[in-house]
Amino acid sequence: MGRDMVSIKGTRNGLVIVFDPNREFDEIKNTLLSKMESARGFFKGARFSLSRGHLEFPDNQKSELENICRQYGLVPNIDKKAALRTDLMGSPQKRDQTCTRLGLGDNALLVRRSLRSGQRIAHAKHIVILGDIHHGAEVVSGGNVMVLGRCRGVVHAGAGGDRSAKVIAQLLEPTVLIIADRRHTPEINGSIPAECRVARLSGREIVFEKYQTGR
Amino acid sequence: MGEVFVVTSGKGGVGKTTTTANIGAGLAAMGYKVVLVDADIGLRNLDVVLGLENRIVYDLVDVTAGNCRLRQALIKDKKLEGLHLLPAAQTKDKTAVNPQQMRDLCEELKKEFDYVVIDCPAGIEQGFRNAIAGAEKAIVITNPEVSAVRDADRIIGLLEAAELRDPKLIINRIRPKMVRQGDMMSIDDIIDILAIDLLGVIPEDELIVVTTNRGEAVVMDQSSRSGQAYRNISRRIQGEDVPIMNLEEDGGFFNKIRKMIGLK
Repeated sequence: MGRDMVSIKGTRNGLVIVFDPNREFDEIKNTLLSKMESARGFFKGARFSLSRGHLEFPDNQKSELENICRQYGLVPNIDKKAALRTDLMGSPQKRDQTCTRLGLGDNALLVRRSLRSGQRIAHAKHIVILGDIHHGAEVVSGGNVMVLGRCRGVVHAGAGGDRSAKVIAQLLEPTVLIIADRRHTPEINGSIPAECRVARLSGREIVFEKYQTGR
Repeated sequence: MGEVFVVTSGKGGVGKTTTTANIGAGLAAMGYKVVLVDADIGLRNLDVVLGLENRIVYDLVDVTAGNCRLRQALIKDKKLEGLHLLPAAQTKDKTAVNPQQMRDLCEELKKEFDYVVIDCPAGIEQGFRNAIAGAEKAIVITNPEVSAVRDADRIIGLLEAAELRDPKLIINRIRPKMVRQGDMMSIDDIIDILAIDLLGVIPEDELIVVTTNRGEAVVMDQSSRSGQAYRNISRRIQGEDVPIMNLEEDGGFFNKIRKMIGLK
């Protein structure tokens, strides 16, 4: 399956690009190129590391793959542990299946720190942040964004066009909040009431409401 | 083995150089052997602030390029026994040095001095990366202004990414009266935003301008409040537990009376 040859996974330490160890290098390279092309800059600025299970790439192949990623604006991750950690967790597909079967919900990227000005996290699925999003920081998610802290930077939920995406934060004071293609700037569109913790799309408008469980 | 600090801020003009000079002088006055390294290549200032400009023969780039020995480039302070300066080059730019050279330099200085304090240039480019390369700890300076605090936040993020964990914060040029009136960010506001430990608070003081222009350190002025603030910071750096001083106390006649009758 071509889909499994190259899979991109978000972790706390940035993206981990996992390669099927049983494939030819040229095949892997082409799949990576097409993946990057179709992402159209979505991963720009994200830190990444390469993983091929227990088999390491020869150095020249590895640098070739890294160069491809760099061309699309990704930044190599120096932290080698990032790659190892995902190996221990098993394949992402398998976990996805388990979660769905048990009705436990979707996978999400868990970020266990605050994001400071200039830091950016982009992930294709949900993002949960155990910390604050400071002014000048940016979070882009294909799904929901949940902030167990204060949200003051730029947040974009449903970046792939998911209009049901939500932003949930303990304190919702974003500089700019975007859901799918709708944009809310408190400075221009009016401030968000203090008691509101949830932002979602209602028709063409972004609305803010109190948090209610299960909705 | 000594400790290597970098004094940084992101934004320019918030008081990095003044703070570097005063922390250095404060530590030297306590009897430590201190070297200040001016990493702002091309825009050197620390020599001027210390009044040592006319003594420069060799500079940091001469040392890293091997034109002279480290000892030849070090300048002794006029008044303080233990205080030394490694000046920046003025005719070169930031690319004249690389991070590895700075790491080697700091390793060398650490052997001889108790404290190595690096004055970082403004910005986040190569000059910044050079300055932090050899540092083990970082001191972040900010002013009670939104832009300075925002830049400090960016810098803290970059320091953390460079494995310089737990930087300490100095808030410079605070005006207690404006804070009281709600016209200036308070210490608590700034700490709330930046979420790091506070190393000290320095009140706005005209005397800083006067002493800086004369090439003296305000920390040596026993009567000034900013000097006291810098002395406290120096003591905290060497491990003492000194409470943040009460800035409200401006010693005026009415304040004394108010205190006597228990209004404050």
